[in-house]
Amino acid sequence: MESKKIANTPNEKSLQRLLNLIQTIVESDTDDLSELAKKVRLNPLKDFAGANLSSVVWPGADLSGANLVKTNLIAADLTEAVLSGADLSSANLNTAQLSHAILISVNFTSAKLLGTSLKSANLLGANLNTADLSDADLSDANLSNTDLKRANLSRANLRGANLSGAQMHHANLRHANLDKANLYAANLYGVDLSYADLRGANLKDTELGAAIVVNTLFGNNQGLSEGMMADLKRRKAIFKG
Amino acid sequence: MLHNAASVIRPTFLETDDSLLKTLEVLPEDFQQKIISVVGSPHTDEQKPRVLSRNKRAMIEKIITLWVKEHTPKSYGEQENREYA
Repeated sequence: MESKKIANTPNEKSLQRLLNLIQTIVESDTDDLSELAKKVRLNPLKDFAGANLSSVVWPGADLSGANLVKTNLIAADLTEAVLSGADLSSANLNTAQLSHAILISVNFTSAKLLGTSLKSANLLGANLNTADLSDADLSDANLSNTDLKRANLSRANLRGANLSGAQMHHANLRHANLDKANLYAANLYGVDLSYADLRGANLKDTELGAAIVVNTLFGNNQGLSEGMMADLKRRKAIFKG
Repeated sequence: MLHNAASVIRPTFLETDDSLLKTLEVLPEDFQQKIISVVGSPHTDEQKPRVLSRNKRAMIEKIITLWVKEHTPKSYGEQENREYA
């Protein structure tokens, strides 16, 4: 493939400046991305949008309010990172490590989070509209008041997650594990829950209208009336224990 | 590109980092060689290759990308944000 050359020929001084910056990174004693960025006068909160940060190791990073739109963070280690208010829309976080991260009000619209570890992460009020979270680990995560409309959560592990007040209509939850999840006042209208496990889940004031519950496992659910149980059984749900 | 410096002189750290290699390919060949001389040396059996961490490689790629953007007409530089979408 023919590569595209830069049109403006840079002078030697400009090239030397670039080489000095590269040398600064190569010879730096630290491997911390925040420190490295500081050494070359980059601001991680605004300069990394669209960058290739795949597989970087950045646990505990403070990226509150950062612009990370379309950033490649595949397999990045962001364990316990703080990203509250950050914009990660259309970012690729497939298989990244975000367990115990603080992700309050993060914009994850159309982000790729396939197989991402978000165990015990705090996603309060985050926007995950149309995000792909299939196979993600969201166990014990706080997803309260999140926007999960049309999100793909197939095969996701949501065991013990707090989904109270979440807007999930038309999300894909096929084969998802919602064992002991808190779905209090969540909106699951039109959600595909087929083959999902909802045993022990709190379903008080949960909207399940038009939800697909074929082979969905229920049992020991708080907030389900006899009438609702009969209706779910009619829609081919399975009750155990 | 079959005959540019980045593909002929491939330091070990670039061999597994196609995105950085791609970033270098837009530069004039003599510039590619100068950058390669800083970030790594050609790998031979006798020579122990320089091993740069993934964090440093990511940072170098970002620096080069920004620098290229500075020296490129805006219509091309604006494509950077679409690269990893």
